[in-house]
Amino acid sequence: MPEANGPETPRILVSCDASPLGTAALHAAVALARRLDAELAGVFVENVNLLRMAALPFAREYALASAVGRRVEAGEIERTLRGQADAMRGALSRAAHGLSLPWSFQVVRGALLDSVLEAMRESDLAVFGYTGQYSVNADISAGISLPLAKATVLQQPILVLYDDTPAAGRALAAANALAQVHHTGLLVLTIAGDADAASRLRARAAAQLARGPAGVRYQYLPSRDFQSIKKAVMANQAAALLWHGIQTSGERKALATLVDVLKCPVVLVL
Amino acid sequence: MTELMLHSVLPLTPDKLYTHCDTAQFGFSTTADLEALSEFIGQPRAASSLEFAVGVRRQGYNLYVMGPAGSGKHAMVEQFLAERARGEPCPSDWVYVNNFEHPHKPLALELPAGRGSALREDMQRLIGELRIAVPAMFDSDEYRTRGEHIDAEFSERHEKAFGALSEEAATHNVTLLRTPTGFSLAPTKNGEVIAAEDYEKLPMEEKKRMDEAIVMLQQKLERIIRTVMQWRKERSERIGQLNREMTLLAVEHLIDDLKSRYRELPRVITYLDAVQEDVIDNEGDFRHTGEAPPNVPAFLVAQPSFRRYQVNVVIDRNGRDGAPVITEAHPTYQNIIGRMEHMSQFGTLTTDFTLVKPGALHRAAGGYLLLDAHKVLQQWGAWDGLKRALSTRTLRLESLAEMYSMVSTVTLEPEPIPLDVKVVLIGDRNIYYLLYQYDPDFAKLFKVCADFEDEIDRSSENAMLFARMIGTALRREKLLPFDRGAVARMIERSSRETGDTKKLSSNISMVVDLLGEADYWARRAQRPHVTAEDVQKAIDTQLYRSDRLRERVHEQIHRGTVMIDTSGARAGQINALSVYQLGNVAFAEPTRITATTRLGAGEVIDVQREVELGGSIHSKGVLILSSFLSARYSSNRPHSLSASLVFEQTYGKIDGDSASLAELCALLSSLADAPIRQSLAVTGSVNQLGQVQAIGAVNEKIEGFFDICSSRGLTGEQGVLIPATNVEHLMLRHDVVAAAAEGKFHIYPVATVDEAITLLTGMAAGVPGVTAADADSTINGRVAKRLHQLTALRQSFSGSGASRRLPPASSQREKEKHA
Repeated sequence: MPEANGPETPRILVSCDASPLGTAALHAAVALARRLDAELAGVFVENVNLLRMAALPFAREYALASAVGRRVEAGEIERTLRGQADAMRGALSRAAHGLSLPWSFQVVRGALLDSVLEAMRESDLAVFGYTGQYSVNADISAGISLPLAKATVLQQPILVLYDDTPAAGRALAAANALAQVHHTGLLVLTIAGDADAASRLRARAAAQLARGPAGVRYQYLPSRDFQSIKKAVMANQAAALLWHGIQTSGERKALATLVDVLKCPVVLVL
Repeated sequence: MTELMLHSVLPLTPDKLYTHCDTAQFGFSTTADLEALSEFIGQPRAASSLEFAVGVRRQGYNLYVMGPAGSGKHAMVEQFLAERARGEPCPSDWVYVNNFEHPHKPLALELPAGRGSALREDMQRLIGELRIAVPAMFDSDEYRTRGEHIDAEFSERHEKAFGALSEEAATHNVTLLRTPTGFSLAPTKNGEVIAAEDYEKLPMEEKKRMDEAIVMLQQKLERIIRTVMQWRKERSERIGQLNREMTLLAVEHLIDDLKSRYRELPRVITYLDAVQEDVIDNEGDFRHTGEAPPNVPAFLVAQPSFRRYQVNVVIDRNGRDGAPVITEAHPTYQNIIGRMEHMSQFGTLTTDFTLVKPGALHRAAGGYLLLDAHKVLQQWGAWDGLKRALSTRTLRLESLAEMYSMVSTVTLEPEPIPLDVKVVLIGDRNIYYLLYQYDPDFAKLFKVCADFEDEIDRSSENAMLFARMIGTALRREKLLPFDRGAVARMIERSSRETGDTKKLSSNISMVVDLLGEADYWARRAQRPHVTAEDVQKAIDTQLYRSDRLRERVHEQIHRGTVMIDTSGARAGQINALSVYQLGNVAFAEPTRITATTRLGAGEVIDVQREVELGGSIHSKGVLILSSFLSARYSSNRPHSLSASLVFEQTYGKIDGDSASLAELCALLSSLADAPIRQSLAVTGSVNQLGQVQAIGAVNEKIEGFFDICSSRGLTGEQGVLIPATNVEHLMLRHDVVAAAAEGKFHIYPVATVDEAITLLTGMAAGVPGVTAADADSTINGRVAKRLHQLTALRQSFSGSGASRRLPPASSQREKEKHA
């Protein structure tokens, strides 16, 4: 593994699984790292709850393909997670080597969001790409939506939450970079208490994006609740969602749920 | 009587030795003035057969054209058919298309002439349009919205089901977990899954309660997952239905447009309906971008194939008029019936309807197919395949290798195409009669025979047609025109080829060769047109080029290695004439025949036959002359002659009876002790009555002896005796005719053996039934006398018991054989 650059080098953290969504997240992270000349830091989170569950005497797994229940062993879960970690490490190293990007990789055990936030102490940005806990219809997406890697101009925009916090500005900059890399549109979700505040936010965002992509759109969201954001993401078939702020428990819960249910990578900007 | 006999046979006058073609009969200056010839010359029987066969459009009325090689029958038949076909309707196009229900059984579609290729282009265009229209339809807002509605509906169902379960689980301090391949449930404490050791520490009641809750929730989870499976299927069906609807929107109007253009062709309409269904069923192919997924090499990504929508035009009449006339020069099974090609795909051989290749029968359907019978019979399976197609009147493509289980690979059963074709087999007579005799199908399938003559009459009318035929060939071959003299010389040469002054050869190939060579000499002489001199030069050089062997044989004679006398006289020795046929070259040389006679039991020993160097026809001639001797001279007393006949200095097989006259004359000379003039050579066969019969190659034989005499110096005594019935075959070389005109060489036509022996010995033959007065002055008298002597001698031996010491020659030979 190459040595990371000095402390001034930006660091992009990516945490994903081996699913198509995970691959899309990795692509997004690689694109951003290239754009920002950043180090790629891979984090694979072994879900500690799964390991604990498997150790219980009555642990049974019900397969999605057959609905058949069977005894599940801790060792089996560990092997599976190890395999997924290896796959992610391999994908990350190939992508980083191809672009001569510095990179690192670690496996941690814990809860997903907590583990990633812990790993983000030295990073500004994290990209999530996990198939959700409830996404039993993951195959449904095959017919309709396209992953980020195949995003087409303006049709699958990058969505970014934007409010009056400093982190929103960084999120907007990252979204702008991602949209330019993928030659796709950008949809700014202005989160404000009223329309006037939303207009001001829009003006400020527009000023920041003065040299940004041509296809910038704005959409007003009265609050950053989970359902509104999910609806906006699905309605626009977002190629990626850029999220900032995890100060409140509601925000943490909303982010955790979105990472779980959305069919696009979620980028967390601190 | 003797004087009368001596002068009854006179040498032929020069006009009898060569029948000139009168240039005055031609009203043209050069052949450039003549109209092209498109009809048959002197082949009325063949022409009417051809006319009849072409006119009868019933099964089995195919045609076998037979005749000598080089007669131009192929070109003539092809030309005739081309003219007929021009006025006949142009038959349909046929195409093979995919059978979407049974891909290994491609469908054959009939379309009006020229529309097969139009359908092919229309289908190409359609697929090109679909590859744009279908993806566009799936990129539309309508499709996206409807798809999202379906997704949202099912997502909602899932969320509700799993959400409800998750909430219920939470009331029991249980959480729903996603595992790598499914779901599981686990008890929690403070929001975390309880560790196994902590679980063990729980009180029994708590554990029991937890276990019961887990079991209950697991049952519910199982039911939900089963329901999700049904939802997945239901969703898939609804997405599939949506995809079908969207594809139909893209396809329907394009196919409808196409169907309107082929509305009068119901099978094409049915095919287009099947195409529409297939496109709808395989819309994914049209949406495929062809891009490889990340980290997957492009060559491993299967690209969608649109081959199944192609149209394979096997019979294409686009831009053609009239019925087709096809000649297949290499009539293999595949070239006649067609073939199915294969292509290698990942090491295996595959095929489809686009690899069906037409054969000559496809191209000739509705018209005429010309085939060389000999070549067809040489090719494995070709004859059987042709017969099968003609008898079933369908073109069924079958792989020959598959038929004989020689290969085992994917193959096709293309739908048979109805076949209406007139097949013309061109070959020689032997093949015709062999097929007729041994192949019962032949007579049923080839009911008409056009028999081309080897020769045609040398009439004024045909001479003029011959001139036009020359003119036509000259134009076709881009040669200089021939003047009248050159045409006349060509006709004379053609007549010589037949060995008959009243016939012309039908060997057009020979004529065309000679035309080309004469053209060469005329151009070398810088003449604007070809003259008789050029034709003669071409003939002479042709002969010279193939003359090596004849010169070697002549050399042997000149050096005395082969003994031939051309002067003096000798009893029992005569010059016969033998013909050598080597390829297309024939020449003759004199051969010495000697005869010896002695006391015996009435047998003439043919030495050639005894050593098995004589053919059966030759033996027949010897037996005939033997019979003649017995009948004429020993009809009422024992025939006590034993004679031997030898072709001196011959070392190969001899056949034919053209030397039987010479052999008989040698015998008579020996018996009569009458020397034969060696300045004369003899050719001709005899019958039992002593009549001289016609033989072949009379011209070559005369010229062969003339060349020997000429090289030794013509004395005016030399000449050749030929059968009188051969006079009309004489087309001798000009130098021979000139020598005859000057009295230096003579051709004597003889009708009987008596005339021949008289000329050869200078002694009158006399009459059979000889009187004592003629006993020494005529050949017949001398022979009769000698035979009487031999009979008396034999009787004297018999009276003294000596006959036991003199067994018949045949018995003696039998003993030798047994020994």
